[in-house]
Amino acid sequence: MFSGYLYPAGNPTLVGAYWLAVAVVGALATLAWYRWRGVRTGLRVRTGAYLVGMAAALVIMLGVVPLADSWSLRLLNNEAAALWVSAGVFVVGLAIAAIGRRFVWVVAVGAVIAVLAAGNVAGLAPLHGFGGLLVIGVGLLGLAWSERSVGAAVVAALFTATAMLANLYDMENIFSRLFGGFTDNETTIAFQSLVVPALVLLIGGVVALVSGRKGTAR
Amino acid sequence: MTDHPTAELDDVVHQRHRLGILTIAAEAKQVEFGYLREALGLTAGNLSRHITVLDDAGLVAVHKGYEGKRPRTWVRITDTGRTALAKEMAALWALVRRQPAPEPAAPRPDQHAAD
Repeated sequence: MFSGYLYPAGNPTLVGAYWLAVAVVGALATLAWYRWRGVRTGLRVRTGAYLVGMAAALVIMLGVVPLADSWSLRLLNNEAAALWVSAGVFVVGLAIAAIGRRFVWVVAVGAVIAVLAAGNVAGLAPLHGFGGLLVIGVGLLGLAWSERSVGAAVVAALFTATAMLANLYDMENIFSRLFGGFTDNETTIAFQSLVVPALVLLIGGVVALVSGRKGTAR
Repeated sequence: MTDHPTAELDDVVHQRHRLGILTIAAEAKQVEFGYLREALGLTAGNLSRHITVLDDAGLVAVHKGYEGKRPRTWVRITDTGRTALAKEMAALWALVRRQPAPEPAAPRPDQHAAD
């Protein structure tokens, strides 16, 4: 899930450790920044949704996917049907948690169903080993929710969409069509897969920084 | 007891500055006294009085501490406060729903139709 491309360019264990470190250190740095900003501005934002989202995504990627891998495939023996059934079960799990949100145990049951189904979807999908991007995407969606920011939600949705693309689609085809030529070098393929989500994050960050400064200057 | 939506409005919550404190606090984990004073345009004494009313009613919890050498007062909405705010909002929605839809704004006297 974390070890780079389908055929990793470097040592898969090191690449996996790198992505895990990025997710954990990134989450801790984000929480520290929110704490610092809360003290500076006098408004401490809730970061629970971010923390829970990141933790759940990490647990799904590293724990549930290997365990829950393809239960619906074994049950239905048809990959497309298995994917749709597990996606449906995921939605049902979320609906149970949302409807019974007044009762902790109902939310817990719904969350467990949704996590197992999401793990199954991720297990069925032929991910290219950039699960770390999906974890960051879930975290960004949680942050957008905490901030109640439309701009942050747009960046989070775009990033998650490009992260899905990097995991599910062979991005080298797009680069080949745009710039010509074709490469089978794993390092170049990994770069081509990662550069689009990275640009979305960078551009989103720069726009937020500039608009934030404009707002302060007004 | 009447069934008119205004009967559901709580005077402790409904006062506009206290409603401001509660809505800001409901969107955050904790909010500092200075931030509230600036956001609501209140004097320290006035804000302090409203926070005391909300604190006495159990709608907010106040935590005093230091950030370095600076004294800081943090306000957090309680579960009771969140419920009271939700009830207030529901009453306001019910009140809005009883009103006829607003008519489109009439053109200003100095505004002429384009011809």
